[in-house]
Amino acid sequence: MTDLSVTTTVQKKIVGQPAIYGLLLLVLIALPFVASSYAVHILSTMGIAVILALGLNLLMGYAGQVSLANAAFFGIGAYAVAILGNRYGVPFWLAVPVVAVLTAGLGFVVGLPALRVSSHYLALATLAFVWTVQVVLVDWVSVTGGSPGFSTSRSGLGIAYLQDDKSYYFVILAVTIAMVVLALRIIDSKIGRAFMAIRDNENAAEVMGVNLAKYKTMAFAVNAFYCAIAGGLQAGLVRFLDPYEFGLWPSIWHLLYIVVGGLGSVMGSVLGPLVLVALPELLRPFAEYRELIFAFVLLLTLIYMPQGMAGKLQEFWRRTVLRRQAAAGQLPAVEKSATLRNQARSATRLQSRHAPTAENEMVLEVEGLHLSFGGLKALQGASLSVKAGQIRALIGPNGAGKTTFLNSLSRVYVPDAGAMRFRGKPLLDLKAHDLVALGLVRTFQTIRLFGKMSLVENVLVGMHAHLREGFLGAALRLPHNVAQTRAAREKALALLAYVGLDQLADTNASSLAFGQQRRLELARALAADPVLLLLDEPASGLSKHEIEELLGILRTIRDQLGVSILLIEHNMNFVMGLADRISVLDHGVMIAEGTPQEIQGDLKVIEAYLGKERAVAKA
Amino acid sequence: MELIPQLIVSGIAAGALYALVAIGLVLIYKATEIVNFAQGESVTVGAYMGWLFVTEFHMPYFPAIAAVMAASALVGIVVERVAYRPLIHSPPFTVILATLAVGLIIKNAIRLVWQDTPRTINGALSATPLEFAGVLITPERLAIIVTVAVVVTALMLFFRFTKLGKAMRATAQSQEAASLMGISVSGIFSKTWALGSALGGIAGVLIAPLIGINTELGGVLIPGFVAAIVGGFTSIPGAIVGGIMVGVFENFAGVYVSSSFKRVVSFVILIAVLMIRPSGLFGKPVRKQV
Repeated sequence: MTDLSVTTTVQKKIVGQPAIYGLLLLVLIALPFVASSYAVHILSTMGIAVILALGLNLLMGYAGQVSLANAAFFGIGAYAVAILGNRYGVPFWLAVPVVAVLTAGLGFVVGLPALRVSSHYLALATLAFVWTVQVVLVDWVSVTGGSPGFSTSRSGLGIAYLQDDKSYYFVILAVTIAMVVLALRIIDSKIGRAFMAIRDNENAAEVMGVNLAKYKTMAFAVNAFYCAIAGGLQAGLVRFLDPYEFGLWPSIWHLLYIVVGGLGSVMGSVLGPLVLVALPELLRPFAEYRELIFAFVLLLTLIYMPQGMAGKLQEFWRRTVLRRQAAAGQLPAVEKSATLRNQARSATRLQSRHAPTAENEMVLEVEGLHLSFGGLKALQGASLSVKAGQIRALIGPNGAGKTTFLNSLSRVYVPDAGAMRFRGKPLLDLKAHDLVALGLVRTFQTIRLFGKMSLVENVLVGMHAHLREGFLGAALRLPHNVAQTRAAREKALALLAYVGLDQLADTNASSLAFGQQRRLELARALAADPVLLLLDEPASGLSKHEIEELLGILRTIRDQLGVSILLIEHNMNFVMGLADRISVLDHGVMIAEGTPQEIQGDLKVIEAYLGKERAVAKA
Repeated sequence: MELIPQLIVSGIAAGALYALVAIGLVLIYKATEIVNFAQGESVTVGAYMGWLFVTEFHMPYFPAIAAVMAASALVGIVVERVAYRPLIHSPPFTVILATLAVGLIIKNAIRLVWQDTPRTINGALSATPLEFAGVLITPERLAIIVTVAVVVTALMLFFRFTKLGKAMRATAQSQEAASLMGISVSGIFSKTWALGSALGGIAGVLIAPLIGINTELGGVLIPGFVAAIVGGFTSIPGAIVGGIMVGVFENFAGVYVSSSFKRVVSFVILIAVLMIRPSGLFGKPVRKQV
């Protein structure tokens, strides 16, 4: 766990090294002056491949959506720019951005099936697209030139002044760098975090207010945009476009770039293409064995290097740094138990943006909820309400319908009948991702964190509904966005301090211990700025000490932040010590309601838990 | 108008082949939740082995099919060993890519051994078409339909009545429960991959006389895939219906629309099914679990 926190500091050390980048840039600029024109052509091809890999990695590595349509968008970009330029005289510099934006729109449409299906079905839907595009490119001879290909030239595209391959290489270099920067900016924005949240846990993302439909299709649009830019550049690089270079196999080739380079890594999107474009050139004498060699590279990468080259490289750096630190006797800082100490300080930063709740306001009102699964009647007219500033517990024996009740509130299930109002608004009119913006936030019984994102990023996803950042804002980093991001980060760190995890802010969530995961989930829920928190068995799996800590945290959340809480819980000591009011659910109906003392003495409750005999004995 | 029954019959023959490929995919998917992208290569291997046994070794056609099944089964075992077993704890997508890689390796190995010269299996069946109620059918196509019908029946009986078949069904339902009942789950996996690939191999022998043998035969994976999805991906009858649908639609599209459309028609079916009934015609819709 502690060594992972080093990973990120190491990453920062590499990433934050302007000197290295300056040097790299100088080399890239100087190369064409010393390399042969053949080598310059290969370098240009590499640049285009990097853009393709970035586009695919944003979609697959970051947003977790499978696609085989990469080469189709690449082809559409290339053919559109070539046809517009060579045939209709549309200048290159106009055609490329226009085509890229239009192709992004097409990407949005192709992404629509992603809303209904996932994984290999999605692979197939995109496969269908790449296949269709290929057929169109081959068979629509009058427009595309058919299977012999489409001739294109730089003078035809209106960029005759770039006739020299060296000059065109500089264009590709500049665009590639711009696309790398754009990718980094997207990833470090509300959009990128939404992508990763969907990848790591779709349900949790939705509950945190991420509109799945919007961001999945956006990921496809971004992917198509990148591919079309690469296509536009390709139209200027080559003498003619071969329709067979935009089919299924090239798509798989692009997949290889990012698998070998590293899924979910910008560095990987650069490294993969560099190696895989260079390799076939080096293997020219063994052209016959090319595909065979690549298949072996792919297989061995999958088995022995699943994180790709970028992952291996990072691991190597981490080990080196650890070894050095060990030699120097400095061991990484260990987490301090810093729970309550920080709370008073951080609470001031956590002012709510919702209209304050009035005294005695009914935050949540549920009446007569019915829900059946086939023959099983899970809820049969369950009612419950939560007053502002109240901590209400919902208890009941196993199978009483507690989680179903909570899932109805968070719009996972649609109840058959009944009314649910949150601060007067009917919940049935809202979608799951809309709840957060209103201040209704839940956690899960089985913790659902975004495992491959850092703690800060996890908390930032919690703020998704409140941050205002679109694609252009993220790309251009306007002052408004910079200020917002800084404020959001500060708030996220304050929240982590609030639950005692600020020392681990940059570690991956998957490396946390169980009790820490619970606290992170709480911090993420708090980031969403709740009026009412729905907690699904927050104490399950925690040690006695951790439960006491949680009790303290939840009380201060209510006292300092004025958040109301509705929780489901089995641990009776915890419930009795925390709740103001308790509702008891059994067989889908509320059988009792009252203060902890009243519930402890209620015969119906005792009967529900322990059976009739014990209830009679107690009476 | 007499064209229509003709198109349907030859569509059924093509569809029966797709169905075989699809059933192979379904069996492996049900057992391991992996889509075997090397399934196309078991078809290719089947076709080449068919050529080897029938044309080179002069084996009779139907015993040759049994020999081919054994060879293709071996492909399945290899894919399971190399791509599935080492990656059993990886995300499904990784395994799928690995099966693709193994498929590519097999395809290229075949290409390097037998080069790109096209081959065919000939002389096994007569070329004179037979006539049934005014519909002409070549013995080759008839052989396809009959063989597939026999294979599917045998498969159904195998799953219903044999110990191994029952063990496979049990494993597909719950690996944990099956292993608690004393079934070797990894052994079942291996046998399932072998069986699925063997079915692909049969498709290879049957398809060879129709379109010839080359290393691109594995492309039949795609209509097979569509057939499996149309059928819900977990149902053998579904895969059969899906296969025949794709085969017949292709034939009609080729004649009445255009030959380009014939090549994309299976995708049109695919998109239509995904949009209207994502769980497939024979699949059961699943309520989202949280």
